[in-house]
Amino acid sequence: MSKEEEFIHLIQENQGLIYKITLIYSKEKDEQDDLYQEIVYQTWKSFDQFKKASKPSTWIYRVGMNTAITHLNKSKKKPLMVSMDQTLFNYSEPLDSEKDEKIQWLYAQIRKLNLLDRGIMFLFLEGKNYEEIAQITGITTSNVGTRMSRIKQKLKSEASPKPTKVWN
Amino acid sequence: MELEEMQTLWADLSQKIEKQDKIQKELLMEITKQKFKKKLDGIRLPEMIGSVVCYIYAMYLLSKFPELDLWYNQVFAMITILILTLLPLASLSALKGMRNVKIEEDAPAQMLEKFAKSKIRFLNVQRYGMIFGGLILVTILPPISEIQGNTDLISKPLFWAIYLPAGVLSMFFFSKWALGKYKKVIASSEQLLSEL
Repeated sequence: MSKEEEFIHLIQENQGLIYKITLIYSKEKDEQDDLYQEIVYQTWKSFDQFKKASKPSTWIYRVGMNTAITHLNKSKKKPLMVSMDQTLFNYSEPLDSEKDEKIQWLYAQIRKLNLLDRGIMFLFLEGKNYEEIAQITGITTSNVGTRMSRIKQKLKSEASPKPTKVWN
Repeated sequence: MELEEMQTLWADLSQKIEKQDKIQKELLMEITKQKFKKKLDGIRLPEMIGSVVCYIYAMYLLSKFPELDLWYNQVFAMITILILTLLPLASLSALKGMRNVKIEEDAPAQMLEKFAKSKIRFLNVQRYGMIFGGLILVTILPPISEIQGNTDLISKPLFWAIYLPAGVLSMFFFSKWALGKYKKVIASSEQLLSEL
């Protein structure tokens, strides 16, 4: 398999993960598309490093989160060069409205957290345990625990999504 | 909403995303190639052009240095050459520091810290660059005039009476505007660090 084919395979395998990172680190569709492209580009740029990495998933999480952090720090939004509409990543499949509302609320709550906590919460929702989160983010396991309990408190203090009125 | 409920919701979302069609190969490579081109054009080129212009001026002054008879013009020329040589070096090295943040190696916590620090360093270099830029306004003219054999202009007090205030004023307003922008970025970088 050529390097290009390996890269395409890696992105195709992890596109859902990359997409979820864009959702928690940016709000607007344009920003999400731009961030998606940036993560794909950074992955390609450091693809040789990936081949040496022991655990591909850890590496992808790191590249994705690090790219999101640096990307958000760039002051000016740049125009898109390639339309992402063709990617079928419009997430147009309707969820049931209550679930959709809850998901939107969840995104909004996560986006209120600082950059590192956002990543920690994302990894937690992805089902990673504290050790794995610590390994990916580069902080200690006890620090992950402390941060998670702070995040829990923050989220608890926020009101749950308001139920939508149903008109009969 | 409890965390367990959030996890269930997230798992639902993940399942739905996984069901989406795969991104097309051609588009994937197109995105990557265009991003690559954009990066090269957007960052390296202006920096390199600026540095080349500085070095051309520095080389010119250096080659004409033996023609300078007046001691103060020799001092001015030396100061100008030093600034024109060291400033682009400092700026390029600070930019390299920012670009060399290891997205693929460092953990997010370390990368966040390194990125914020290198950003502060880059912005400080730019800040000093503006101060030294203002200094060049004064130091470059006398030696250039002597080299070109046209000392009449700079020997007129009226010229300095117009040139200096005009130069200093435009430099002041430009610096104020640019520093305002830089301060905002430095503040956001420092906030990043404090959030860690």
